[in-house]
Amino acid sequence: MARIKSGDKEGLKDIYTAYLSYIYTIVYGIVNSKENAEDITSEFFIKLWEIADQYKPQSNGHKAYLATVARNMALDFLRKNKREVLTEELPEEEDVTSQVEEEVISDVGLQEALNSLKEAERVVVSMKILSDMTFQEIADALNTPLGTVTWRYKNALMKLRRYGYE
Amino acid sequence: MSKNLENEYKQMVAGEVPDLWARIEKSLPEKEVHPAESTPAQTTPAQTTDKPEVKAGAKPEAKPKRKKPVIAVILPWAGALAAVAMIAVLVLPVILLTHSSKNASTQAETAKSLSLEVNGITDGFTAEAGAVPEAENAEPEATEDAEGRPEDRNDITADPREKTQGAKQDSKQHYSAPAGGESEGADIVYGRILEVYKDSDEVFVQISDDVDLLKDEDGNVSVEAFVLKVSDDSLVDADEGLYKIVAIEDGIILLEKLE
Repeated sequence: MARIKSGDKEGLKDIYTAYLSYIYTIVYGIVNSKENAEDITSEFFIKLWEIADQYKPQSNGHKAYLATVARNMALDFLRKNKREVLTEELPEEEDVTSQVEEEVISDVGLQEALNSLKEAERVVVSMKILSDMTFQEIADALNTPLGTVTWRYKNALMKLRRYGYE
Repeated sequence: MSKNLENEYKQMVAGEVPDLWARIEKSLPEKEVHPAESTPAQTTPAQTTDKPEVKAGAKPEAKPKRKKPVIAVILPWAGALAAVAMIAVLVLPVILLTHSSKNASTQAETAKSLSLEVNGITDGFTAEAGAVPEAENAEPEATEDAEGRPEDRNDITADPREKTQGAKQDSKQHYSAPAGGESEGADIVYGRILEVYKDSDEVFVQISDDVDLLKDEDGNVSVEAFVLKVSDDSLVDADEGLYKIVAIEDGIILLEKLE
């Protein structure tokens, strides 16, 4: 961070190389869209460059600081584009869910298993697993009751278990 | 054969990350590097060297200044503290006396109202479950509640169905003792439904935190609940009917429908 403060682009690139996938994963977990995740991740590193002057060493490490900044950016984006994102991503996947029978279908990839979830469930799973958010944070971000969020998560895990995912 | 969801999911997403560096680098604004700011070590010595100069000119004043504030701070506070102590000595006994006399009267009032509520609930419960006509008391209370105050317990018990048709916030849950239960045990708990979820025959109800679920003598929560139909975009409708609480987990109550 000291190198970025002094205007060293190589310093930023080092952070970029080390944390790109980490940041992208967090952002993707919240926005659930490749394009948006790419945009926000890019903006994240640009912002990091800009705010490096204000950076103070964190007690819980800079990785947590980076994660917080990225999460906040993604959540800001979600807040601004909530309506569009939610309506745009409501697919006709619900029928697929009903086709999932009780038996364990272990010979299936993760993508397919995730497709078996309702969109609302997948969003919660992504936020929880990829973005490492608490249920309360997810509830706040989605403006959904806490119980609904936990319920969706439980449901999603039950479905994913049928595909052998724990 | 179980797969690790978290690891696999993270790997899957991380594997899709494109190279964004060119894009980022293009958008990076040029940084203005301030030499003075970039070397903070230089500024601190400058500040420290300034101080001795000032001190040199004001050395004789420095020592008496330290003593003065101590006295200046203590004296006004001592006066104020004494005043507060005096007031406390005079006023506290009066407050305590009035408070204790009030308590006696309010205790008698709450005892009365509790027994009223108990009776009210049981009436409402049986009216709903057994399709008994509305209690006579219900009418005037219902008109009062038309303003939408969910706090009014008597109202809910008078006609819960009307409330739930109005709005989710108004829907209120009441739990009463099992059908045979009398009001003697006071096994009645009030709560407002926050959320209702249904999964096959099981219904999950989340109620507000301020509700204390009373347990029976063995410590089991074995009360019946009358679940009202609650509808909301994010919720699943629960059937009306009698439910028995079978588990409470993370603030969510699992109900089992009684036939």
